[in-house]
Amino acid sequence: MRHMDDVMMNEQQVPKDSKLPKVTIMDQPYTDKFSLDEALKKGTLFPNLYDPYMVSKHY
Amino acid sequence: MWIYEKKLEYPVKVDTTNPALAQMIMEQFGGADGELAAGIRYLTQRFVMPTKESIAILTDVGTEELAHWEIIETLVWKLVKDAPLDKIKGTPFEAHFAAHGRSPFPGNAGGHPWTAAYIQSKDDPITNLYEDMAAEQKARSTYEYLIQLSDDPGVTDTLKFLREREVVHFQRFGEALMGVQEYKDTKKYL
Amino acid sequence: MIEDNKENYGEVNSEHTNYEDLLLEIQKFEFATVDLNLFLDTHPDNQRALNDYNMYTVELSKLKKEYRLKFGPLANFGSAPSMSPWQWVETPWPWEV
Repeated sequence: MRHMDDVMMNEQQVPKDSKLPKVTIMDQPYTDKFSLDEALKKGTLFPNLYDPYMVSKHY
Repeated sequence: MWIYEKKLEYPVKVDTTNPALAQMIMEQFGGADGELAAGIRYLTQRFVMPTKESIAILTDVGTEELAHWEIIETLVWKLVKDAPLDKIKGTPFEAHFAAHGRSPFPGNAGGHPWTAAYIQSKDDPITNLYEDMAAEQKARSTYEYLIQLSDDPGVTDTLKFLREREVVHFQRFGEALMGVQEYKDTKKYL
Repeated sequence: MIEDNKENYGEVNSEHTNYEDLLLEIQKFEFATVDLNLFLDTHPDNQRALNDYNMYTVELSKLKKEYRLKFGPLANFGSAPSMSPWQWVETPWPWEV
């Protein structure tokens, strides 16, 4: 599973004629699917978009 | 046009009566980073999108956000509908009760009514899509705080579902941004 | 919270014991179509996604037909016919389930 921050990469090589920095979002490949039970419970059909939240025990 | 389906997107179960928790969940009902803001924002911005795919994603995510607004409304209602007065007094919900009784009302956790000042729509699809990606991150963070606050297992399940939807929407708006950027780049050279 | 029903890929259990069970099946299939709909909006040429969307949509239609025959219209404004008296007002509202 990927963390949300992994999907965004700063494009370091800016084309010469482009004035503004650009961000690149990685395209989601269509691979596996959860079962319908799991998908509804988890909130997505796609394992590669699943980002489970664990409450930190720090506090 | 919107037609209405008589079911929630998610099978919401609420295990307790808890007006204080309901008051906090209102942050996603009528707050700055909540579902109403998201739905209205996307459905307003879609008019200036330059590609049919980007119009579609704003229309469809906007529609899904209104379905989420309905889920939040249901969570709040189920948490308060059976609350006797002595379970309301002394909680943050007491102020809401003074103005509205047990009826839901689109305001944030602090009781501030919803306003279109929470959203932006500019005649610039790049600007709009960056706002939308930020909105999804803000909503995700807010759900994380609410998950920390919730001690009702049914409510927590629902909040986790809604949080994951924000993760998915962020990805979709990112893809839409790539598509719109590419469209604008190719147009430049035609 | 969600029952761990065994999902039959492409086969829908056509007998549901009660209102809540049928609604849950509809929620499962419709949610799959929602997530696929959003994917297709940004990937309109993905044939696998389209095939899956259509497959779930066909199963969803069967479930909605079962709902309609047992309980009346699931949606308003001409989505489905109603028996008499007007069934739309009779079925539980979503927060009552």
